[in-house]
Amino acid sequence: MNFEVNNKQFYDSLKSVFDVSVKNTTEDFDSAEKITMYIKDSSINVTAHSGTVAIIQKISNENTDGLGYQCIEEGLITVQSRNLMSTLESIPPQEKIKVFLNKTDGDFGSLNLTFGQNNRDSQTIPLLKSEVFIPEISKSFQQEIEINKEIFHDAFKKINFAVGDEPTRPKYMYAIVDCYDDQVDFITGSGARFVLNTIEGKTFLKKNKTGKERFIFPRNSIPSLLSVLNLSNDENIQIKESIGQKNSPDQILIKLADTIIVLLGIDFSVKTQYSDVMSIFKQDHPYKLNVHIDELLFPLKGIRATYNEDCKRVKQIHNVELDFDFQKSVFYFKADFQMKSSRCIGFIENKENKLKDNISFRANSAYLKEITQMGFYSGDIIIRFASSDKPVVIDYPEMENSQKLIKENLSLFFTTSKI
Amino acid sequence: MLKKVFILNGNLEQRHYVIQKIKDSLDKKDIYICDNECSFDYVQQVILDNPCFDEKKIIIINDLPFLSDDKKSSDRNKVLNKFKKILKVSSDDCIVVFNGLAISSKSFLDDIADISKVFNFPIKEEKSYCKKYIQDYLKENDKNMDVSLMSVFLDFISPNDKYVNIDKLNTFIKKLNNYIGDRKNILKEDIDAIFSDSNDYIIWNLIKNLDDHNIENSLALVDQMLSGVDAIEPEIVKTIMMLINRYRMILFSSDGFLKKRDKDTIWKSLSSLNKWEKKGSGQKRSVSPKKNKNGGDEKMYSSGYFNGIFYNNNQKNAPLFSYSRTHLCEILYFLQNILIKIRSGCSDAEVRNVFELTCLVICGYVNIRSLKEVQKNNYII
Repeated sequence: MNFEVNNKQFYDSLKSVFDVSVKNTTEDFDSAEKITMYIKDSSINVTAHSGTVAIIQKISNENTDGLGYQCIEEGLITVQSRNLMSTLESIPPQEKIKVFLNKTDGDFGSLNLTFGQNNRDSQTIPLLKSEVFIPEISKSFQQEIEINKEIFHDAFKKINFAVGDEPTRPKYMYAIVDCYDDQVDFITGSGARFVLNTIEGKTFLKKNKTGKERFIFPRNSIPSLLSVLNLSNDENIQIKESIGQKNSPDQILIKLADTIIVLLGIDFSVKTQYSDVMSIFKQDHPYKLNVHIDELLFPLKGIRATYNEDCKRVKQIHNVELDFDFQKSVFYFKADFQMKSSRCIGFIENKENKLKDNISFRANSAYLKEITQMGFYSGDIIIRFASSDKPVVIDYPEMENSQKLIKENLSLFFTTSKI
Repeated sequence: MLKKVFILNGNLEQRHYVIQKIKDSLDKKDIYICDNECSFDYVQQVILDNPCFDEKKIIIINDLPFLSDDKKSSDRNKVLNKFKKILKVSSDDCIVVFNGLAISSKSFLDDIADISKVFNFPIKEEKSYCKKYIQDYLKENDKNMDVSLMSVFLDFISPNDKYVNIDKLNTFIKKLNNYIGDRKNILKEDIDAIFSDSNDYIIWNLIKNLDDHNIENSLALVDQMLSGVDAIEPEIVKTIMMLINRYRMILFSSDGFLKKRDKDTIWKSLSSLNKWEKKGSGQKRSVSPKKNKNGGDEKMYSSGYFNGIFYNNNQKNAPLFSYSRTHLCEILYFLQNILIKIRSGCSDAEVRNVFELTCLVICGYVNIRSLKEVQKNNYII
């Protein structure tokens, strides 16, 4: 095995595979934190597997500008991914490196990298005996879509923060992606707070079937997935789902031009078990009011300021009061702990508002804080609810992207509390 | 109408049955499971949060949560008092199940009596009852086991005791049922096979054979015990420590009987002995009684363990009467000496030889004279 390659381009090409190999790895999984490289005449095929996410990537002169790849002798090697990346980081980016095997060094030989003037500098990485195991890739799929990569990535990123993290409530440890003919709903939630990002458009999505198709993405695979998508230059991605095939495990396949990501260990029963969040988002709430988002920024900071270190020591949950006065068209955030806060915010009654009775309820300040952290800093948000013991829905102003020909609607809802 | 609070104590099978019944009785439900990683604030929030989807909440509390300001030593009564307050204001849509927490606090139970239902299921049952239990289980699964084999089976689960832990029984009866597959009749070999890989089984079986002075079986069990272990010495040291404790208890009891004390008086003295543990390091190192989960002192001997030495196993002599006082002294002397020797450094082969010699001593094949001979030749002690 012997090849030459430009360091910077090689290092950049390996970033996605490296991320998969080290992010959210399954404990004691043999293939985790390893990278296997198949050195071929025209390309390097790189694989990594974290235990629940596997990646197969083809690196070649055709798909990587300035890679300068030249295969002298074909071969297969496996190394610790951290060793490989830290070694490449230690070599000046502009250097061309020569990579070859030294079979007599260490237990299973080593990978030698020489560079610099007359190749006088060198680094070695010990080779590993067992290569990365890649599960059988399914050949037939029940569901299949093609979607614009950037839209998918950006929409997914906005809802990622809300995915549940309690292993005792596993269904919420998934992100839901519901694909309709001209619309995709991205949904995450913890059971007490949910976020929905709806993307509408005619051109960003291609489907084989009409009607709703639901894809689910396990929490631990999302960081790797987003990282790979972020680093990719492809315009579109294919997402395919395969359940119950004879020779291959249940999987979700995300296919880019030269990269395949395989998500594994998925409990597909979540697709049907997941709560019907749309029943809340689509509900016609009797209370409906408009607030400019800027108005909330400082009052919410004031509320969170009361959750100081002393308060955190004795209280893990920080519930605050919301009092709505429809006569004065104002509502108050009130926190009463060691530090106190009472902040008044003006609102405008929405033209669809049906009730004007004053109402108050309590809610977790962590959810309230998120209202101003969704990346929207202008426009009116709509706050709607049915009663003091039902969830509160927040709708953000619709965003239109004329370049991508899409409309984006973001909403969230959170539960209220008795105390 | 379902109660808001269920307090389930006792064996796992029956507790799970009640939980399943609660789940089945509700159409739309959201289940939360709380363990000792959960804070009280979190559990309180889960109980008092209004449900998002008109579903009923089932909150199964497998461990009492900790108080945020007192994570390491949350007082059980303090936590229960806090629960008392929130359970009274929680909605009817929220069902809280205290699962296997052995809650017996009278003030807690009294205060929530009108909103709660308490189930106290047995933890252990007499072997005679267990036989009927096994019969019913096997009948349901279309399997058959000879009554004499049932005694063997129960003795394996609970040696030297007339009671059997129900959870253990359920585990092993299911294991046995799965092990024989479609076959109808259960054989002695099946029982041996399902117990053979259990370390507890090997140790207890070894003790039983040592009490019966059956050296052949004892040596075979030592062989079984050591096959596949990562390191021989820790395994042997652990077993020797256990044997020292056991023979010390038998000697103590035997001595009590010689002094005409009754069983209860002997147990009273024995039950006051605590387990000890080392704390800290260097100059701050100290030894103090080991604490149990509830903050009390952990005792050296359990009543079941003590009662076991009076139990007439397989119609042979009970362990207490299997050894003379001199023999017990010899055994303890030998065990203490080989422990020191092993800890001062022995090869694996030496450790194994010494332990096999221990079995010979306990079974009465090597007496004081032989021991002295061994000592004179500077073989091991």
